Parts: sequence; C-alpha cells; structure tokens
Amino acid sequence: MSEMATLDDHRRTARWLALLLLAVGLHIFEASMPNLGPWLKPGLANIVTLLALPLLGVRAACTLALARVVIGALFSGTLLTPTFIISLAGALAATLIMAVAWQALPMFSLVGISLFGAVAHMLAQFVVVEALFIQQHALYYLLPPLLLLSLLTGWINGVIAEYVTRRIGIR
Amino acid sequence: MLRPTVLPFSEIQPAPVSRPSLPWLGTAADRWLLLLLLLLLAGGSRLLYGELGQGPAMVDIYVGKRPFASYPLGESRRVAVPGEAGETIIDIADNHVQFLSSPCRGQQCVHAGARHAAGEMLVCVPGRIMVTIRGSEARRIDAVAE
Repeated sequence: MSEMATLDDHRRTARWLALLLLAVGLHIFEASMPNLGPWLKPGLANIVTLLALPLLGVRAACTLALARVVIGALFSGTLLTPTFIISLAGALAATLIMAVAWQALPMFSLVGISLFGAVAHMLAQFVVVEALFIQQHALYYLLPPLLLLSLLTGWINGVIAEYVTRRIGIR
Repeated sequence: MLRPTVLPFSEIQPAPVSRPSLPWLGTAADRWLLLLLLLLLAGGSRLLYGELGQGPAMVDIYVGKRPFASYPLGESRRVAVPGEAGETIIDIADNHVQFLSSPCRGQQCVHAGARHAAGEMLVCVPGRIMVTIRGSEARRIDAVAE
C-alpha cells in the first residue's frame, strides 16, 4: 500500500461523505415526519446503506450506518435516549445482516438484501425494547403486523435502491 | 460467482451478479425469500395468537417488569400509573382503553389512541408502561363491532 492517497481513494472518501449526508438527511426527514404509528417508519435511510454496498463495499456500508445514526441523533436531539438506543440497535442489526447476505448470497439483488435488513431491523428493535425497557413477553403480540409492514417497506426500499444503482451507471 | 467487494471507481463498474430485469419484481431468489418470510410470519402468528383469548375481557397494565394492575375492559375507570417518566393517566371507558396523558416527551402513547380487541396493546417506552387486552369477550366485542 503506497503512502500517497490515490485519486480513487479521494473519490471513495467523497462518495462516502456524500452518502452520509444523504443518509443523515433522510434520517432527520423520517424523524420529523408525521408518525404512522409508534414504531413504524419506512426506513428510508436504509436505502443509503443498500446503495453503499455496491458503491463502497461492506465495511464502508457499516461505518456509514453507524455514523448516520449518531449524527442523526445529534440533530434530532435524541442522543442516548431510548429512541437512540432502539434505532442504533435496529440499524446495526440490519446493516450487519445485509452485509453478510450481500457477501455470501449473490443470488439476491438489493431487493432481497433489503428484505433481510427490514426483518433484522424490526426483530432487533423488539429484542432491545423487551430487554431494556418493557420486559414483558406480551410485547411480541405486536410483532406480526409490524413485521408484515416491514416486509412491504423493505421491498419498496430495495426497489428504490435498484433503480438508483441503475441510474448512476452500475448496470 | 462471488460479488466484487468494492467496485473500481476509475472505470465503468462491472455489473453485480444479480440484477432483476424489472426492479419492482426482484430476482427469483428475492421473490422466494419474500414468500418464505410471509409463510414463517403466518405460522408464527398462529402460534403466537393461539394462546390469547381465555376468560372475560381484561386490561392488564405493566410497569417495567412487574404487573401493575388488571381491570375489566367493560368497567369505566381512570387509573393513575406511576411510570418511570412520572404519573401517567390511563382511561378505560366504553370497552376501550387509552393513554389519556403522559409526562413523556414523545407523547406517542397518547397519540396511539384507544384499543379494544384481545391482543391489542399500548406502550409508553419512556415510562416503561405497557397496556394489553386479553380475553375471549374482547374478541366477541371486536367481531360485533366489525
């Protein structure tokens, strides 16, 4: 590895930062949207994590998701509150499983990868809420309808990511 | 067939291995995954909801780990619950239960509105309060209402 950063390195950094800004913007937009339900968000910021997989690779996608949640919480004033812990757990679980699926399961397009992420996100949030805040197994009665909705939003987000990768020239 | 971990930037990128011809349909694997998840979800819900719904319609209120109180859904009353965020008012009236007021910041529990059917639930995360409905009569009320 040479000492000097190459033009490609700079392009990678610039692309990472551009995606981070996009992700933070979507994160804040989502946080300020009218609530569709207590734990129901379309997960738009996750589209950026999906885009980062083909554009920047697995490691950059993980750092991007982590940075997005922390910076987004700074802007919305929820740092270290329950909201932050829940959204951090969801984003980390989704990103990790999407990264593993992206590497290990090449038969899935970004649509399938997004489904993995959506389900992981919802399950991780429930586990964290049950473990840290509510501590009642009855909480899981809420899970099926929310999982059904997360499959729907996951599919839509994956399709959006597919469209975007086409438009920016990854044929 | 392995995906390229990072695509080169200086050249036109090679196509990733799996591209659906129509994005909204996904690849065949995507569709099978969706079907599998839907089947798992259907089976899981049957297991989960099978145990609900015995006895009269009751409202259970939990604070943190502990059950706080249980009241019949049919009797109107107003309950002050000492949650972690402060005193929270829960209202039972007209076979419905709802958060009337909460000292929490988000107010999502209040905005969630009223619930009436077995298996339905209201949660205030900052106050660590959970309200659930159980009992077969809550189901019958639901069936009549619909």
